[in-house]
Amino acid sequence: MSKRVPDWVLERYLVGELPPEFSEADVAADPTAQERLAALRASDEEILAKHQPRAVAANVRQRAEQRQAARRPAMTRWVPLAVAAGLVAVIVPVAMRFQQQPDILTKGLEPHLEVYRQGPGGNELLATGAVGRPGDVIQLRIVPADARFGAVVAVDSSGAATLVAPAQEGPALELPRGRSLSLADALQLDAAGDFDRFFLVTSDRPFQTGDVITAARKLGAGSSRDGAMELPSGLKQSAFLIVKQR
Amino acid sequence: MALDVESHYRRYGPQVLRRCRYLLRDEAQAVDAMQDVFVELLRYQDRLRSVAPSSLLHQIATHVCLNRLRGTRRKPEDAEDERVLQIADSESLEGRTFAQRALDALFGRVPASSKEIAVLHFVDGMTLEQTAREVGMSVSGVRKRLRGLAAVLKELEAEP
Repeated sequence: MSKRVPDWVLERYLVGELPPEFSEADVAADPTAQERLAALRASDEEILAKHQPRAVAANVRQRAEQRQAARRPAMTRWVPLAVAAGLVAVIVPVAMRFQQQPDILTKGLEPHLEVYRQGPGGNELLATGAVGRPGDVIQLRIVPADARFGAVVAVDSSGAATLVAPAQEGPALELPRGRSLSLADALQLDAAGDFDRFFLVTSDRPFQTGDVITAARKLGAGSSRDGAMELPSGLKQSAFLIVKQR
Repeated sequence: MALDVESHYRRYGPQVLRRCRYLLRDEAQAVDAMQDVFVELLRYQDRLRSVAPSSLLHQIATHVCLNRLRGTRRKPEDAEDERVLQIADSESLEGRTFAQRALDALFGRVPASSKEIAVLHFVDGMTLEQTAREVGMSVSGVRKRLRGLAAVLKELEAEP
C-alpha cells in the first residue's frame, strides 16, 4: 500500500524543492496526491489574485523599513535629505537624540499628529499654532485612532509640499492598531518662510500618497495658514501648524 | 543583491499563507502574519543559509505564528489546532526570552526553539531526522530539545 505524502512535502514539490528523502515516484504512488496538488494550485491562484504580489511586496518593504528604523539607535537618526531639500534647509545632517515617548491608547480618538520639540530639559509636546524657531528639532507621532492607513505631508508658506511619511511615494503607511507611531526621522526647522503645516491623512482603506501630494500642492499654491486639502472621498485629514519666528 | 520580495512572494507566498492560516485559524491574522514572514526574510537576507527557501519560510512562519498564538485564549477548532495551541502556550526550558530570540538563532545556526521543533515533529508529522535537517541540528539535539517540552510531550505522546 502506498504511503500518503505529507502536506508539507507536497507544498515543496509544488515549488520544485522536494526534500531529498522523497522522490517523484513517492508522489506518483500516492493516490491522493494529484487531487491535493490540484487543490494547492487552485489555492495558489486564489491567494495571488486576492493578495496581489505587487501590493504585498510594497507592504512588506514598508514594514521592513519601519522596523529597521525602529531598531536604529537614536544617535543615528538623521534629518532625511528628501525632507531637507523641500521643507528644511539643513545641509549637514544633524544627529538627534529623541527619547521614546510613552505610548498612548488611541481608541475613541480622532486620527491626529502629535508634535514634540527637543529641548535641553526633554521633549516638549507642542500645540497646533506653536511658535517654532530655526534649528528646532521636532518629531512627529501619528495617533491613528481607528484608522488603518496614513500619510504625512508638509506644506510651507512658500507653497512647497513635501511627503514626510512614508519615505517614498506609493502606498500609504499601514498604521499600528490601537497605538501610536513615531516617525523614524526627526525634522529640523529652517529659517525660510512664515509657517509649516503638517497634515496627517488617514483612511480605513489603502491609498496612494500621490493623491495626497497633489492635494497638498494645490492647497500650498494658496499659501494659507488654514484651509483643508481637497482629498478623494474616504480620506480624513488633520492639520498641525507651526508658526515660524526668526 | 537585494532580495526580490515580489518574486519570492509570487513563488512562496501561497504556501506561507496556507501555513499561517493553518496555525492561526484566522484569515486576517494569517494575512498579516504572512507579510511579517517576508519582512523577516528580508531582514535576514544577508545571512540566509543555503537552504531551500520553502524550508526556511516554513520555519519562519512557524515562529511568527507561535509568537502570535502565545497566550491566545480561544477554543481549539480541532485536534491539530489544540496541539498547536498547547505547544504555543507551553513553557519550554529555554523560557520566553529564548523564544523571542529564536529567529535570530535560526539564522545564526543556534538551534531553533523547542516549540518550533515540536510543531514540525508533532503537528507537521516530520520524522526526527526530517525535523533535525529542517532546523540544522542533530537528531539527538532535536530529542534533547523536545525533552524541554516534557509536559507537552507527555500529553501528545499519550494521544492515539
